[in-house]
Amino acid sequence: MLASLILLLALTPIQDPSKVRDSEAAFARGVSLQQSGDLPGARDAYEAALRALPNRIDALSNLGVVYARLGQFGEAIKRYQAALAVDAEQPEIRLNLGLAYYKTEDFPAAARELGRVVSAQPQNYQALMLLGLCDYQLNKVKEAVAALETVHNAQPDNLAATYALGTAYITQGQTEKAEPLVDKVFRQIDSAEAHLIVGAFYLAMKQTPKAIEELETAKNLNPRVPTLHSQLGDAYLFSGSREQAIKEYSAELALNPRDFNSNLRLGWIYREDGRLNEAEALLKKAIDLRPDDVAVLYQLAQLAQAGGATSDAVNLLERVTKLAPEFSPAHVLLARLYYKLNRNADAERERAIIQKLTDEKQQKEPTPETKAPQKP
Amino acid sequence: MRGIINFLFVTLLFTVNAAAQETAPVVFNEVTKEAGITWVHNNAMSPEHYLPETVGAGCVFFDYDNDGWMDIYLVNSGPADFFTPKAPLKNALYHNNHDGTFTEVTDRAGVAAGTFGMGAAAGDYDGDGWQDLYVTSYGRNILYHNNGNGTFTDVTDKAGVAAPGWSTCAVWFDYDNDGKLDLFVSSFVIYNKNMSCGNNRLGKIYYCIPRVFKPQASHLFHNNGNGTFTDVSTESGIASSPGKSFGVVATDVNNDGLMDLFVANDTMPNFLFINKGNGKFQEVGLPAGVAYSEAGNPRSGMGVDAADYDDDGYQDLFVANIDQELFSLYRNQKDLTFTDEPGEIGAATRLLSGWGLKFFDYDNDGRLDLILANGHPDDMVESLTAHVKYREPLLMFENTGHGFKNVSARSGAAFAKEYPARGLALGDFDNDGDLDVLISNNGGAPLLLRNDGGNRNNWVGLQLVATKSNPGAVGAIITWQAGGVTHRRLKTNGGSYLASHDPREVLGAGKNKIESVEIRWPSGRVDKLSNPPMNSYVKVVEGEGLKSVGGTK
Repeated sequence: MLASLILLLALTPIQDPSKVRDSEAAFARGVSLQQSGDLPGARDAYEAALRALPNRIDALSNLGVVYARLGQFGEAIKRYQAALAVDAEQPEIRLNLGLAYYKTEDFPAAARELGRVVSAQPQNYQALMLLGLCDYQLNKVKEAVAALETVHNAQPDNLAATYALGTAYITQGQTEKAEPLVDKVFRQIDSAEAHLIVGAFYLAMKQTPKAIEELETAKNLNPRVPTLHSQLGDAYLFSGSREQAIKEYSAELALNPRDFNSNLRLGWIYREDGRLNEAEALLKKAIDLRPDDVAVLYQLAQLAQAGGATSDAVNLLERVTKLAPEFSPAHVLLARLYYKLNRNADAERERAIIQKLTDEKQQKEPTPETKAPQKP
Repeated sequence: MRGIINFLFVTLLFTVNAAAQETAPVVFNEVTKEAGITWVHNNAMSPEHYLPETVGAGCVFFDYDNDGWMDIYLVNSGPADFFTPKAPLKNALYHNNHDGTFTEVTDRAGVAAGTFGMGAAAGDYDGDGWQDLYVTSYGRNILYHNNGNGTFTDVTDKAGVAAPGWSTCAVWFDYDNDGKLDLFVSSFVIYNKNMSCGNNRLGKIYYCIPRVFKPQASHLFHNNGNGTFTDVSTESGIASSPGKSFGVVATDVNNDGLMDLFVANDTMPNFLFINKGNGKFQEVGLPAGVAYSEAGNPRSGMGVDAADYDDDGYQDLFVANIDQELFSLYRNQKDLTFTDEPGEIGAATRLLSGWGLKFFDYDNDGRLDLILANGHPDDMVESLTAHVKYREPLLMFENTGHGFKNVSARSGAAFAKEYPARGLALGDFDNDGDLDVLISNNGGAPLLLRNDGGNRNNWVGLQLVATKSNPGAVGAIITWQAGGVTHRRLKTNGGSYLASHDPREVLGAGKNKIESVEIRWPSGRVDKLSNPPMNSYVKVVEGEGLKSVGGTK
């Protein structure tokens, strides 16, 4: 270590004392401005410090942080990379670089940098958590769970890690493991938003009684939170309370006429109930919001079919099958319409596709474990 | 003024009468205990949750001793590769004592079975005039030959109808119109007891959803006429469509005189096998519009039935599905296509899972009504969802002539209770001219519901005795005229779930008299009856017409 330090000092070029003074003064000003929250001022000060001493690692690192806080992650990454070019053995800077990559959703680069940090500092749980999140984003869920479990075990009060691990468990289908984690996170925050998130989680897990309970609590705290009524509508719809679902979707649309989900779901319900004009108005609004949305196009196709507009229905279904070739129900309806139109060759083609998709789906079904069920 | 008073008086009388009728609906009264039926189904439910546990079992109304009174057969679980009963389990045969009570005669009759039973189908396969019994199982099925002396003999091996695997529903019908009853047997999934789907959100092992298991081809057995059958599943085309099949009904959806098959599949599209008349069947569920939901999704089909509920001369189809899927009422469009028009039934069944069901004229007004028996297959469902229950109510729908109206609330106390219902059989066990209902419950006692009030309307009961046609007269077309209205009924067979029904046909006439009856037998022969005796059962022999009049209660 001592030898390395001596070598480093020997190789360091002799610096102009006035530049050193200017740089120090600018750097100190930058730190002061950064601490006071004046990020543009801090940026300018650090830039000045670097003009005097371009390879000043602390200024490069701090400038990177300022750019990151300004949301300019590309600039931040450049500064972190420059700092690491001066000294690659700076795990804090590499962690910030990894975080910046993560923010730009360059997950492979983020994972690469964070992996190096974790290799150097296995106890750096912040880096490990971020690495777990990267793995999750890269669909390496098993690796993500391993990383996040390590963090959670070491820092059980780390709510971010707890929530992230819960999410990863959900992705793995280990809902029984996920539930207490997500519950723990949001029990500590009593706000409409928190209950909305917990409710949405339970909804995703198809635990509708708990979803309704959380979403109703959110509604009592603040009924104007965006998407709250929409999600509550989903919860009621999935639990079979169709009338309450209609009320909630309508409430969402009164607050937010452009809510996509409420337009789609309510249009869907009205179509099923034969209220075709009302359905059409809502579904058209939904397709305006998302012109290529398969679910809306599919509803519009069924609406056209119900209204006797067979040709329109065929066109819509053909579009759906192009956008989502694996969406079997569209092939089913298309085959039916082709048969009806005596387009038997087209119908048989669709039938073959349906059979192929059915077979593939059967193959993809998770094969039950071939072992004797364990006694509970 | 006097005229106005008379008018008001007559109007008042009419109103009072109408009100009296309104307050006396047809009621199904539970009479299980007073009938002496004490047998209880053992579903073998285990912590390991083997799927066959939750699927059974079935029930039968049939007259095994030809005394003119419907007896009862109930199917039980039994030893299987996943289950060893602590005490011997057996199916139950109850003899009808003609006084509203039954006596268990299982051991004497020799029909205890001893398999992990699913359902049963009664039919006189050898044409000796005695109803035989085919019992389906998880494992080996059994064909019991009726010896005609109150006993049965297991002739499965000789007949060649064991159909190993997992069989569910079965139906006797004559697909080639050779005058002998052939046999279709629904096959469910390829099941392996060593397969587990892990734990649910409660941390408990649950019943695997059938989606994960591979489908299996059903069986079609041709009756050789010598006590044996030939498995023609492959050459007939049936085996080309492997399914996860439950309910089956033999019907004629295109009125070509050949019996077709409608088969419900669980988590797969349903099958409509059209009989091509050359020993072959063509599966047309998709083009016919009965394979999937209106939204193009396969559903969890369980119970089925077929009937011309809208009196347009074409057979319509019904399928009970699982909760959230809605039950299907497929209306025949007369061109081998159907539209799903569940109407009020759809909303009423949104949260229910249906098994046994049957179209029948519960009030003898000449229109076919509908009864549904329900129950969720997942015993833990109430812990997992808000509104779906394990035990579910029965539903009774009255055909108003303009659709089905839910009349469950006025149909008796049994309709206010909830059951883990599975099989449902129809039969007039008290011979009073209205059809009673037998329901088997998974892991519980059966439910015998006596129809009280259905015979306030006029009726004629037909016992059809074939001489050239198949012994069940399956495929016969019965036409009758009452009050200037012509009614028509195809004698289907099967339907419901794991069940078999009273083979007699009760023709409703409302307040009118039946002026004439015509029976067009599957052989092509026609017998006509003029002014048949009302409110009686009559025996009609093919080619000979009315032979005898039975008693009424």
